Amino acid sequence: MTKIQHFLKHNIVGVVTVVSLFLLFFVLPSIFSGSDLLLNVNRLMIILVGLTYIIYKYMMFRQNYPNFKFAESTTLVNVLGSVIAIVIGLIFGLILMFFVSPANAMPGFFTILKGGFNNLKSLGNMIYFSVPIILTGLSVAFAFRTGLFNIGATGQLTMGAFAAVFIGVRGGFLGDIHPLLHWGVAVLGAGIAGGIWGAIPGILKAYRNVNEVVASIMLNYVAMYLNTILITTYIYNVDYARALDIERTSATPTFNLDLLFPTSSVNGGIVVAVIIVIILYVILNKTTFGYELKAVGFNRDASKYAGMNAKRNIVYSMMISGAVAGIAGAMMFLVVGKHLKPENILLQEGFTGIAISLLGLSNPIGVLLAGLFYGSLQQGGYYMQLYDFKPEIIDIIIAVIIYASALALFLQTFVIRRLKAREMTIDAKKVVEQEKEGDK
Amino acid sequence: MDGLTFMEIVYFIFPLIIASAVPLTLVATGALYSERSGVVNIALEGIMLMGAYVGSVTIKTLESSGVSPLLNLFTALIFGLFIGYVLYLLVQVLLNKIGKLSLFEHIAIRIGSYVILAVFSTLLMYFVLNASSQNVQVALVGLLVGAIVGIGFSLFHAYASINMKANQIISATALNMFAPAFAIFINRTFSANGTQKVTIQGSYRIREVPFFSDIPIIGDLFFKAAYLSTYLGIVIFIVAVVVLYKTKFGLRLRSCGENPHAADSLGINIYKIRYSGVMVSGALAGMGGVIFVLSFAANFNATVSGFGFLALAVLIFGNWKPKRIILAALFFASMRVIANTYSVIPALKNLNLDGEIYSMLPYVATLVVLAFVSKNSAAPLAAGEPFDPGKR
Repeated sequence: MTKIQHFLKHNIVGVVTVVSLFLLFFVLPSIFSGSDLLLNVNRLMIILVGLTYIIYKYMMFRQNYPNFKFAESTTLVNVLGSVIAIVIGLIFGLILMFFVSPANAMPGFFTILKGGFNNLKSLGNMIYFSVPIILTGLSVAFAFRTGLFNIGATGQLTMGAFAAVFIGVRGGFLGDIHPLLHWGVAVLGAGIAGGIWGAIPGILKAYRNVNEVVASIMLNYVAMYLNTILITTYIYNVDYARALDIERTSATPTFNLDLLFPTSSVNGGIVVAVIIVIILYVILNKTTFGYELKAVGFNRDASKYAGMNAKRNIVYSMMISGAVAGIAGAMMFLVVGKHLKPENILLQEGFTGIAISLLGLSNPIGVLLAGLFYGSLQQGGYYMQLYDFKPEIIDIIIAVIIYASALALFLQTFVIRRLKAREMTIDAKKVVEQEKEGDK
Repeated sequence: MDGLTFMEIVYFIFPLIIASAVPLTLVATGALYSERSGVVNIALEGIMLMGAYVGSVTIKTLESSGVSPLLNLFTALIFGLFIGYVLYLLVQVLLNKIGKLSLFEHIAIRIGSYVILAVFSTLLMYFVLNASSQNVQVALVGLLVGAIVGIGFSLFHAYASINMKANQIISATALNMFAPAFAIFINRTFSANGTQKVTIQGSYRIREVPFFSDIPIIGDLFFKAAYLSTYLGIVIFIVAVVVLYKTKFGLRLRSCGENPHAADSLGINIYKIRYSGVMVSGALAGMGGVIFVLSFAANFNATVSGFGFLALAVLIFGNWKPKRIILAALFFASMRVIANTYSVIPALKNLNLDGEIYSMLPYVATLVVLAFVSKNSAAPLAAGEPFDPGKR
């Protein structure tokens, strides 16, 4: 009890923020569903509360650490680097739009910026479309934190999608069970399939010293062709040249989110995504297991001498990464009306996941935000067709953002230099003031 | 098509295999240059796509407008410089055979021979071009444009990975993402009917090469229903290998991929060499993209069907060695062709397997090979590591 009281006492503003956000986002809209005024007031309130919270935190921080140098905070520098990369990408997009159609460039650009925050429907769609991307982003980010580059999220996603759809279509063997359980089994199956597919490059890396990037690229294509074979053999709908319809019981439940965002295609996938964000965050930051995984990533030999099983840890982290990507596949295709197709095409979500992971600084919470950002841009691209721009410009912008963040070193030195310059002038002012006081 | 005899099948399949193997070999050679100089280039897919896009747009435009004499002269000049360089390499070998020369004589003979050879081959090329059909002129311009675009696009990767010491896989991923989006966006915006396809009218197949096609078996296999790009590709491959293994530049390039610090200590400019390695890979990949469009698709549909990644697999399967790269490319190409045509071949049709199994086989084979030989692979030691002079 005392612990909870202590927590409340020291985080009162945070708790109030979370509760009020919850009220604003989840409770009020379900009472007055879908009025525009409400949405605007909501938005304003969220921004105000958010700003107040940030200012409060900043002041507390300043009070506690008066001599803190911001240039030495790697998180801050990294985040600023990401922000600059995003700005560069958006400016590139704007220039391209001016080049294509000068008259429509500005309104089109604002549509992108507005993105998913157009109305409740687009907000719901933004959440719906960002779920698989958040999950693949998490998959790549988890591997990246443990020193591995999982470019094979696409293949793991494909295998997961097949497993999920297979269980969804042929759910009969499970007997007459609760629908949620059917869905759960399908998601679990997807996770296992993706995990196995992810473990293969892990095993090759750990025991045969094969570069995991190359192995996963190969496995992407193997998965793509294997998927076609499996679909046409087991769950083929010849009339439509696609997989059979999944049973309704295995579709992702909406958890009543569809009441919140009427007419959008939102479903409960975001809940799964948030749960996985929390799980991965806890594994990485709060457990010995996660610490070992990270240690092996930093220095395989050193962690071996510290008594860790480096090989086993590499396999584990690739397996977890693959499982998350597999669940992304389940979230994509456990939807009524969506079908796996035997098309021999790599699913792009896996590669977008790499981008999202980089943008989110390989931090689970960062990835969540970056994924929502991407979803918002995507909705912006959708609405931008009103101004006669093609939605592919979003991918161009994202590619430029990724390229810019690959130049992180350059950006970070830039940020550090600016911060240092600022702090030096502040220090100089302080010195001058002190001298003045001394003179008096 | 049940009654095909064995030889008929061979005559049917062999040109297809060669047609697939040429772009694969070229792009894999590009990757070889890049990795040997120490830069991992998985952006090849994107570079190929970019080259293929701009190249096919150029070809489409020139098909309707015709090739002007000035453009022909320009093409002739570039190819002349290239051919001149090839002949010059031969002269160099001869010079080494002759023995000692004074420094002045040496320089004079070198520069003189290059200038003469280049001018000579430019003029020759110009006359050949003017005499040949419009399709040949257009195709050569297209290949050239593809190569130039490839170089330009690869410079982004070079800048990020060499100057900025960025993670090479990240910057390559960005390029791979950028290329298809860019091609689709620009083409849908500017084409008349808003499609993402670039359709090419003419056929760039050579029906038969005079004289050579009369040779019994070889003539049927190599000199009928072939592509101009096939021969060009073979020549470029041979030159690339000779340059990599028999010249000073090639030795330096290889040393940069193995031990850049040792190379640096001997006064080699690592940055310059790595830039040239990446640029060569860009040129070959861009050209490979155009060849891909010309020989399979007859239209560009914002994809190169994973050839860039396949070429990377060829490079690894070939253990970073030119001879084995050719074999690997032939193996991969045959699997690809069989996957598309197995229903015609009675022996394979009776096996009753999915076409996808043949498509999958090269990738599985690469994985197996990787698993067994990665302990003694010939991968360049410093590939993928940014050069840091302070690390020595």
